[in-house]
Amino acid sequence: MTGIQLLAIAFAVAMAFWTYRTYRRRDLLAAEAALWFAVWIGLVFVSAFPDLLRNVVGPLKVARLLDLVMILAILLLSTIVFVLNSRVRHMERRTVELVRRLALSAEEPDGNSKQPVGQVQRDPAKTAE
Amino acid sequence: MNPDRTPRHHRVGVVVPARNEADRIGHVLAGIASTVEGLPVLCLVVDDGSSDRTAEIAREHGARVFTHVINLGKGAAMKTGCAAGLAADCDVLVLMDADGQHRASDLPAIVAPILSGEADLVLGRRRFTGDMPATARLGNWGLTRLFSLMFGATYGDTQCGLRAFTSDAYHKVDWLATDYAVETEMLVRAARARLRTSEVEIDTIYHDVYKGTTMLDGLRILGQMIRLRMSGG
Repeated sequence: MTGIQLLAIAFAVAMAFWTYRTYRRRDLLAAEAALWFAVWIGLVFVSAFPDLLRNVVGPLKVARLLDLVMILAILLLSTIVFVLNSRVRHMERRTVELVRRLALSAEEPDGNSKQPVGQVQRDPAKTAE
Repeated sequence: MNPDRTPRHHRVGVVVPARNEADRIGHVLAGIASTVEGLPVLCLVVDDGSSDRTAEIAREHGARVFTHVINLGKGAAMKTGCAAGLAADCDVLVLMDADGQHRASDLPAIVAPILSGEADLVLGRRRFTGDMPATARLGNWGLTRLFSLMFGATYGDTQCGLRAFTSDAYHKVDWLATDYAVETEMLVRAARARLRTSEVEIDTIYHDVYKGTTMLDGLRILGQMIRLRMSGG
């Protein structure tokens, strides 16, 4: 086993542990955690037993096993970036909508504004610019 | 005032998006008359996450104030102000910057084409000379020319913040942009909806500390123009 194989296995084990901790903190759903575990276990297998994949390299017309791993990694990363980007946009839109609704609902019918929800009372002497 | 043109309109809502403008908002609001062309004026200030006394000072000057608890951007603040104006039965909406760049004395000229039925959307057109900072002059000139090339509609100033439109026109130009790209998006939507547009030359005042569109905002606006063009603008 070469040094790069050991490094990849150590990386996958560390990431699996991090995934487990994240799952325990309930920042990941069980299905999401299972998906990430599958990725890390797959990485361990590919690193420890690279010959297992040699049979698929030929039919896929990929020159080397490392190229296949790189292509799969790029596909996975592109998917993750796309999903994250769309989720951030969605959250951003919902935040804007929430803040705007708070602003509109915080005004009383007589035209006087109530303190909006979440608004911290500031000391004007400290914040005046 | 032409008596023929008032029955169709009830109230003018002047929407002023503001962020950390405690030094100038009072002066801006004090300059706005209680009536424009015979119609009552309602000042609607949207405090977009200010950390100073902007909201308090605006209230002291009789404006209705709507507070964004966090900063969302000029486009979002304008949208909140317009929604508040519609809810308050304003059927003519005017957008005005809070930094004192626009003169309240231009308000009658801005709303006149709407009240006379000549236009659905009226744009202020600044003079690209004199006191306007050189970078702002170059940026505005470039974006205005690019807008003509990309969308085929020619305006004298695509980035001016002083604008007026009817409540019907607002529903047609209702924008998604939350930042300074809002002015451009509004024009693209107006062109798509074939709104009758008019331009009025206005005076602008530039203060020592320029707080308007930066070069980075200019790049964002350019990106928004490309995105709108690709989506069929």
